Amino acid sequence: MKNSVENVSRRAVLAGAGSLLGAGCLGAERTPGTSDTDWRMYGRDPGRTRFVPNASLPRDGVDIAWERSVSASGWYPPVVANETVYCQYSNGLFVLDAATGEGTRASTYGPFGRDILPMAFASTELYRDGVLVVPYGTVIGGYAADRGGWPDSVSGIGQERARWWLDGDSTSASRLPPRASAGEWLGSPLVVDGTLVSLHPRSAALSASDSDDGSNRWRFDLETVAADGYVASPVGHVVDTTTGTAVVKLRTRREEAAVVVPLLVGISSENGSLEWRTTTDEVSSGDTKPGVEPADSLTTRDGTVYTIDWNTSTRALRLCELDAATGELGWTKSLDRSEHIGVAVDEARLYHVGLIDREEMPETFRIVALDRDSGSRRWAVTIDDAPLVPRLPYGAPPTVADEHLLVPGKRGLHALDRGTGETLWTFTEMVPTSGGGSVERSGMTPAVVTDDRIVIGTTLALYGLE
Amino acid sequence: MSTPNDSNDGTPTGTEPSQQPADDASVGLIGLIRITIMLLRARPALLVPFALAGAVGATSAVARIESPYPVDMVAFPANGVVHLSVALVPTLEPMAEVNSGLVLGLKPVFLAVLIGWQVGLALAVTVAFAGVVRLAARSISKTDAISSPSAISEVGSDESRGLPGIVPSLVRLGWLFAYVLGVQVVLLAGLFVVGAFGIGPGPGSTGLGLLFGWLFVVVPIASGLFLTPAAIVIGGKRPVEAVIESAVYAVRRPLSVVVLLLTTGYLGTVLTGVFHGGPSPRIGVALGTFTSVAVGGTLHAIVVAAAYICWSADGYSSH
Repeated sequence: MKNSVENVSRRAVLAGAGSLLGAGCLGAERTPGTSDTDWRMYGRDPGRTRFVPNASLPRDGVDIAWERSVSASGWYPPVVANETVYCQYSNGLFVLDAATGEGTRASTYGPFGRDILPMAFASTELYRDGVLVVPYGTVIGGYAADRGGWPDSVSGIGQERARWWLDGDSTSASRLPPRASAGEWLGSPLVVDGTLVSLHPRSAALSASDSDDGSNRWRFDLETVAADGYVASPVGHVVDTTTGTAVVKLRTRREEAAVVVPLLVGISSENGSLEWRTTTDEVSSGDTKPGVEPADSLTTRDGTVYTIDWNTSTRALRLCELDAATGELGWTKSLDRSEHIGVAVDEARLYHVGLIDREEMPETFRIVALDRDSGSRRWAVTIDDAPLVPRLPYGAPPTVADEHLLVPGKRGLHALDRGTGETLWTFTEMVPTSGGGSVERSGMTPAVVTDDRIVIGTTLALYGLE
Repeated sequence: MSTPNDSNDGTPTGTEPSQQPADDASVGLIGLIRITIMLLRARPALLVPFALAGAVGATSAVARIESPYPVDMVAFPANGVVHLSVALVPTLEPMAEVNSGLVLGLKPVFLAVLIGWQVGLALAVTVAFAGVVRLAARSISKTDAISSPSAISEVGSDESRGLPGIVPSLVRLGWLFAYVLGVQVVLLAGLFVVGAFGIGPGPGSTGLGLLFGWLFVVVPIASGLFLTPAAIVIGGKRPVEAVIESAVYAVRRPLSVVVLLLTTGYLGTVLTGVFHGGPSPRIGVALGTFTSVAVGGTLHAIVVAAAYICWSADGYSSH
């Protein structure tokens, strides 16, 4: 704790003074301003709740508002800011008007946008257009975001539009630090009031950085929280804005042993000091599914954290509730699932999407709604579908908007009534195959809801639905 | 000896360089270096203008780190021991590196602050450069230098020969300032164009292509401009005329000019690393910047002045 506070002091004061001189005295506001229609990061908000409170979506099916076809999918989760959709795929970046789908497709001819984790968007004081944040494993790049400024092609790493790079140890405005692969962790930055909160497993750090120049505001060394003889590996993180706590999930492993101890730590998002640490269980890595702890398995809202892990004795998936301010464990709920897909949370309920094995049948969606206060089940349904790529550090988790729970799957996009679990509609489009037939377009990204529209990447097409 | 032409601002006028007879005993590269070193030993006060400018640069560099502008401060040898660098005039922030993303989308007020910041630095380097060039010019006896390259005029003897005063006229200072600003505007505009239009290494391009571009475009242009400041301050030329005169000297002595250009650029870079790895990055940046500017800037200005004085005696004709 002392270490983190020391890290903060001098640099934070100097940086704060610099910002005050540079920006504060000039009366700059962060732009573009935030809006209810934004979806600026993976999970929509710093808690990764995937909840859109003021949306209005049709109950009887959706129409295609716009469509952009591609020759190769490989979608990354879209982000939306300033009424602009940013969506990277295998061969380029779409920068589109969210309402019309019109805009640029910047073809990529190098590492820009490849082997990345989900992007984020942050407002800036110096710049009108904000910054598009692209995580390349442990290294994160900040790019000029202006919708009209993207060229038809981006070569190399997009150096000509880059403003800064950071890797958890240092920040640079002109040179790309050595990159490392993404691995089994969710390294998608979170944006909290103009501050980027990001995980860097290579340096075992959680850092907070300024969106204007990437300068470090504070840095927390995650190695310091592991017990003696254990090595810590970050899995994912969220920020609870109610309590001002950044919650990091880690795997700690005894050196040269197969024992993994899941560990959750609470760190002040204000100054990077350690607030609490909690272990949920001790498991043998050989007993669990590939990936051990699901990477995208944290969410927080209104001072409560929800985490998903595996129960050692029953080998069942388990949801745990924690107090974001203290780390104190609350209720737990075991779920008989073969795989964790995603979680979303609204005012009253927690929605979990997983897979179940059925004898001689393919894995199938099993969706449950739990009461947030007690963990008791409100409803549960099974959908005869499954996700296309279930085991990435990120995937196609559910979205809660209006009265809907939106679940992407191989057959497209399913809309369920979030109050009852009843299926409202399924959006299915067909795509021709080279053999002359056709197959359903699979939902490959989260359903991003913006201004009463749904943006989703599917097999060979990006859709705007209304 | 050749007397600098001050006709543009009413100060004493000497013989037009174009009317000078060519001198068989022209000063070469080694001679210029000797003159520069001996002049600096004879007149250590020549270090003062760029020492003051170095203090400004060091302060600016540290302020830049603390500002919200995304700028790097890179000390030698972070870019490699063999580093190709050219400087048309000494830079007050030799460690600063920026990317084109710096200027893309800047709000008007921050763009204005950035421009004002750069203009302030340009003004400081203009005053220091003009001061050293003027002081150096007063101390060099071209005739002696040509007949004996190791010879330096006796300090103070120039006044009796009717040379201009220590402080350059405001007109020349203004033209030099315009030239320095022009160079910075071109560089900033180039940065903006690169970012705005996505101009950069294309698919399949290599560092070899960039190296060739640097060698065959940047170096020749910079060589042509190398003596422009001296032509303005000593020769009293307007910037366009000074550029032409400088280009003529570069064509006549391409090897010497390229060597001087690269040496002064490399020296300025190397000196940024003398305090690298110190107790504090900010202190390292401040001291590295100060040393580079104070020493490198002074040597740059003296060598430019010496080259102009010596070579202009050989006669100048744009034809």
